[in-house]
Amino acid sequence: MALHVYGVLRGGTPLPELPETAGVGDSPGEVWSVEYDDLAALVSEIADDYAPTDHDGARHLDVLARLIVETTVLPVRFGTVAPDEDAVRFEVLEPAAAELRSQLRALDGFVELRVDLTFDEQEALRGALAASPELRGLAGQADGDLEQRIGVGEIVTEGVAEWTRQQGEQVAAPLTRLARLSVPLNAGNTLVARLALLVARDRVTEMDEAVRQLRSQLSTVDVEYVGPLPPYDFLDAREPEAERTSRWGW
Amino acid sequence: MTVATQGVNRAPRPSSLADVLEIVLDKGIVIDAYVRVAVVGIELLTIDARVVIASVDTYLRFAEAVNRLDLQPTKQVSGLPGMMDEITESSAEQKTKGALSGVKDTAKDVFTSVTGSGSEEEGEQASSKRKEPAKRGSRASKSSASSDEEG
Repeated sequence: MALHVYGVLRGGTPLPELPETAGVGDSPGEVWSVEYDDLAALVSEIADDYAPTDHDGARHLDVLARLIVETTVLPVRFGTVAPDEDAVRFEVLEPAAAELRSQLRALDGFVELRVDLTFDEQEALRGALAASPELRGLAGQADGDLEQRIGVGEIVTEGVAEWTRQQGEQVAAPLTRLARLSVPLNAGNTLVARLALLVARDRVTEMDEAVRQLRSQLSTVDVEYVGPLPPYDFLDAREPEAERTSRWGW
Repeated sequence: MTVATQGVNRAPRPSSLADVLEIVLDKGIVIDAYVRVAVVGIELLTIDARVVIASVDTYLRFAEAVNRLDLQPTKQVSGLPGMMDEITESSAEQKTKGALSGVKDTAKDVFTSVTGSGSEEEGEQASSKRKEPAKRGSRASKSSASSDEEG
């Protein structure tokens, strides 16, 4: 038997109720925490020949998402396995203890929320063309061979991606205002502006309300709203105190 | 979703498995270069190919759309007061390319990672295991920041 590591949290944190079979693997087991000093790692037992599947990836995230609702947890890269509890203590927690503590302090009380804004293709295309004479000049030009059409399409796609990014920034302004930090993410889709928001746990309902309003205002934009997730996109955030100081520390 | 306290539709995690994998495989704290701890991977060869196909497909779709697009409603076009005149091609290009190479890198990275954790092979696997997490570790400091910075 070996252990799968989910994340790191403060030692002594009571775990929320999780199904007894919440873990990853073919015969999923219980998730518990291995403590070292004032830190703890969430683990579950896996078979020695554990070969993770995409389904396990979802379970891994589900466990962490359940935790983050109640307590600060730092996600560990999916697939991290250790042979036993001592390896978790002395190879996962101990060597990185100082940094883990600092990350836990920096992210204490915060969760990640994600918003995907999916724009209408025609609207995006018109917007991109309106913004660029070069793109307008390409209208009607994509009539050559495959390579030529791909070339034209690539330029148009880039224009649309830029339009989406800028629109996303504008549209999401009421949401980013409620967040401590925000970062645009690549959604892998030209029409989707994706945003990760670091939000205080006690302000999630405010964010819910802001998203609800946004949805009711935007008829042509689809708003997907996800979370709370562990702060995957903010693991390098500094402690709020340091953030404030550095802002004025010039 | 019956008597929800608030009428907000918030999903606990992304609905698409691809988005879930993008999060858990590419982000999170990496335990680097230790002897007994390893990162085991999922084989994701298909994602690499799918991304390339999807982007060409998008290019062709937009090429066709811009061909078909009726540019007559100039009222609307000129009505937008050139609000995005300063489109920077380079940044858009960078973004797209960065995205593609980023995903490729991930798939390759994942594919080459060690699978299985058989304790009976501990001795002979130890050296190869040690190398893999080290490589991932060097990426880790970057990837915990914005994924857009990669590539």
